[in-house]
Amino acid sequence: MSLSLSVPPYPKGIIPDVSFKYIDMDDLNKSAHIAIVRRSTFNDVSKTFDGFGGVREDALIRDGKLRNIPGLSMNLLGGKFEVSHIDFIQKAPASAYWEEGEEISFRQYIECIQYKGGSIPIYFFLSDIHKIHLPYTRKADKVTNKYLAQFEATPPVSNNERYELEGFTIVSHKPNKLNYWHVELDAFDGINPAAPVVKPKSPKKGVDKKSTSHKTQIMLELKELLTTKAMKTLSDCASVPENTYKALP
Amino acid sequence: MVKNKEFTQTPNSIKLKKNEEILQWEVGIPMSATMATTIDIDIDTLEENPPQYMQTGYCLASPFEGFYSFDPNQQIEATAVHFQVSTTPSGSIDYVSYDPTQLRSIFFSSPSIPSNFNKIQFAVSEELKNYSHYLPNGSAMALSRINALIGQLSAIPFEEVIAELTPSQTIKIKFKLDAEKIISVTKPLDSQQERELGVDMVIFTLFIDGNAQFIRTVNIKKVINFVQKLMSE
Repeated sequence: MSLSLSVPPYPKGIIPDVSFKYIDMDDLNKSAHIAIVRRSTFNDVSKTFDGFGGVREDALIRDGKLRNIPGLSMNLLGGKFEVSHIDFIQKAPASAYWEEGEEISFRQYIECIQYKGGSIPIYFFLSDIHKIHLPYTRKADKVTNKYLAQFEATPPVSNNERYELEGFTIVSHKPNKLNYWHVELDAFDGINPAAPVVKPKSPKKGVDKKSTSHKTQIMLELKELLTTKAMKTLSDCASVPENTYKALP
Repeated sequence: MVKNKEFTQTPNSIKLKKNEEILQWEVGIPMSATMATTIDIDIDTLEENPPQYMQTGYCLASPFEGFYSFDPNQQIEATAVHFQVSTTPSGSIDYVSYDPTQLRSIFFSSPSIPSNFNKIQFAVSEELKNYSHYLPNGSAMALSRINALIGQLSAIPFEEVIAELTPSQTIKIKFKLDAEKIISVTKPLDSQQERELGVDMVIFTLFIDGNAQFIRTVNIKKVINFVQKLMSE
């Protein structure tokens, strides 16, 4: 028997349908105790979880670089995505975002599917990682003042002349061409609502290194949140209500 | 402030010389002769301010000579400044660089605490066997940061400990305090991240019955005080 015969067929039920719409994650979070699953970077339970049952960071983030957390891929459970579907990886161009109303031809992307049997699932509850505050401080200097003024923000200042700020997480529905149930996790600084926090590779010459320190704080807290809220097993999982993803006729 | 004191070190103690007088502590920070980092103690500060240490619960013997005895649950805190040093095959030390602006606290522990130290160090060494590739460039400094962290965390009473080196160049040490409580302390090992978070700052999480109660960026001294108070209640 060839290896290819042991690969199960792609779960076509998770492909976006023209009748589907984007899911409002705030509404979904309010309506049900929704679970999310991410594939471990390892196919080995002992490498994925530590001796206390917590998830290891390198099982969540392939190369562990802080800047790679924004846009972290996950999948919504409780709809048509089942845990075993994490064995299928959508490669470009199938990994490109689906647009509402777009009709997908599976044949067009059939070569873009990679199968990775035996994947280890890591679970989260949406309510544990969506809209979670990430407190941080930022030096009250000219650069920060200019940035705050741009967004008319007036945060309190602590005794050591640092602004006390709160970033937050967002789980966004980002369906791709072959997986409607794909979501991504981002962190925001609480000032600029449009730009996720992405830590630069290294500070540019002439830029005060401390100008990136708030991003380091946010990203370290975000990593801690993820590893803290990750679960080895899932006790319960609510269903995604149909009216949250099916557009009205 | 007294600086540039000569000293020698053995795996379980640090000996300092001041005006030819040998000052010696038995410490909870076994320092390897191969580790390219060591410490300088601000002895004058300790001498001038013994009441401060008495008030905070630290019992510092006088004069500064010989072994000290103090409450086994407490530690003596001192200001330290980091040196980068090289060692000869015989273990003697030659200074390579010294930065008096890089000050931090270190803790001298009673002889009972090294057992905690050894447990944490064992957990870290097991982790290093498989994940040392996660250490940042200049791993000697990273190992020094780990050693200092272990020394500080040795004051925490715990049942079990595990360590995790992460690919984003941090170390996470988790303690099972009792059947219900687990804490996690994460510290950057990379110089830039450490500076950006704050030299003595760590990410601290308390779990009760498996649920994270909070995640905070705090000074490690606050973590130790918090946990000691929590476990004494």
